Amino acid sequence: MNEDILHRPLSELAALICARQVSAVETTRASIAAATRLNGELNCFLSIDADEALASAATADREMASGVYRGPLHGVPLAHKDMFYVEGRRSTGGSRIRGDFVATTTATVMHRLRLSGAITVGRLGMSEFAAWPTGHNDHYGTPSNPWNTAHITGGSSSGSACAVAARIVYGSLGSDTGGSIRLPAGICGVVGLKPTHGRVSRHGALPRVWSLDAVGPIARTTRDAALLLNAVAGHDPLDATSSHVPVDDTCPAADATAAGLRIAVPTNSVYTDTEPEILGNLENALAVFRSLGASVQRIAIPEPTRLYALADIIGKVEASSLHAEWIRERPGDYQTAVRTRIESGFFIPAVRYLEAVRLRSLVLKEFVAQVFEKADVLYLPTLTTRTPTISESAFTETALASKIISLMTQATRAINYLGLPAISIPCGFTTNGLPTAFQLVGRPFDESTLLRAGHAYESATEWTRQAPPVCSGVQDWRLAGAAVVAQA
Amino acid sequence: MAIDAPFIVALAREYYGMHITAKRALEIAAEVGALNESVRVAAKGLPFDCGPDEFVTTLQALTRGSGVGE
Repeated sequence: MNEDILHRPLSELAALICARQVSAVETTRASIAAATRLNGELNCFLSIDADEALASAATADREMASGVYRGPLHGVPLAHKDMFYVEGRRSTGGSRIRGDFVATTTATVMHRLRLSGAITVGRLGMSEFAAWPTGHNDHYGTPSNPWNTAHITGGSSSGSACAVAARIVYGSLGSDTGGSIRLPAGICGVVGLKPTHGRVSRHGALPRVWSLDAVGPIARTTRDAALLLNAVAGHDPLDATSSHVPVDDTCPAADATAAGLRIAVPTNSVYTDTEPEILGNLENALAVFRSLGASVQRIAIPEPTRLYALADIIGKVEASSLHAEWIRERPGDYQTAVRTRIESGFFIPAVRYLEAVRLRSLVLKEFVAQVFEKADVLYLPTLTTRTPTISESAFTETALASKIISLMTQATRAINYLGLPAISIPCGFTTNGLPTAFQLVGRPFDESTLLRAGHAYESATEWTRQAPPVCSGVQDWRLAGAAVVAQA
Repeated sequence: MAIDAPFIVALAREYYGMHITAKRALEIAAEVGALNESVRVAAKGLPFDCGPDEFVTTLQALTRGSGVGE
């Protein structure tokens, strides 16, 4: 089997595996071959664990042969950000400090994926300690954008977005504290979902900011993202912050529409100051939603810069607390950019931090009342500027750290403070061939509406069907389908 | 009143055992000063009995179909 199978979305592969038209071993071999072929150019994998992956795939196939089918992830090759612990395995967190760390526990999400029958092909690169939004990593190298390898992938789930976009794996788990799922997904032209605070267990996941971290999927389509979310979401007795809100099947029906969807677009600068070319794509996407029967209204939302500052206070203080000992004893083992970002947290008064924490529920109520009284979703850009090159966005001096972070996360960070779910969906390209994306933000635990709306948009457009030039051969998976089945 | 750079250098050394250059301390002072002011203004009128643990219950109360805020 050649690598054409890798161009099918996860939901399509699942049907082929279920019908035993393709095997887990064949698909995993193709994934490993693609990873091996492309990693020199893309640098998205820290390790490709071929033997283990093939052994798991063989188990999956034996189970299928004996009538055991675990569900849509059974036999599907995935790979994840190197921050989800698996007992007995290395987990670097993208850092030198944890370069030799071997986990003594298994993350609940990894356990749930194993129970679902998914295959783990390897460990994916990330920004150091999930703390840098461009994806630069001085310790393990910076992943390259599959659409143009001179450009960033975004971060911190840099390897995840890269590997999914490059059609190496069918999905990946990442984490999002200020945009670290949504940004790389948007920049690499794939779907990234930050679930509601507490929707997905964080047990066994490297923390970045306890109050803001969320674990979620990066995938090629919204239905793929939903299948991943279904597998990992739900209360976990090992994570006291995980919610007891029941998890429904979030996967949208194939014929789901956006008819009647009420979309709110901000009149604030977080939307209007978006670069014109990207804004044009965002407005085109709104026109598509209108054609699908959605309504669009322009409203003023609570000032995002205030929310950004509140999130920033919490982020800085909690990160400095987490890293206090290492910052003190091993400052030189951090990337300068990451250390710069963390160290200012030591000098924020506790009273200010607690005010930011205490304000959260009030600000959330105000935001939901103002935005969701007359709308189902809030529409935002994912990245408001053109995707920079790796060299032009490289960290050069400490004074610029805040500016880089602010530029990258101005449309994403506020949502983490609110704890609301948000999804990034591809919506075209800039003239230099790099993806653009919009975000949909929803009510607490309303991931289903986001996924349904995103699916309706995907069905009416072609952005998630296109593969980057770095992929061999097929650029549109619909052409790959017939060839794959014919070979089976 | 803004937190000043020499204070940051001294605090880093005495309290945290860290070395911060004078240049870096100036940058931190500016950054932290701006953040402190943003949050101080945002927190004006914060109800006395609003605690830090209400956020999770508020999230749950605002889910679609909860009837609250709809």
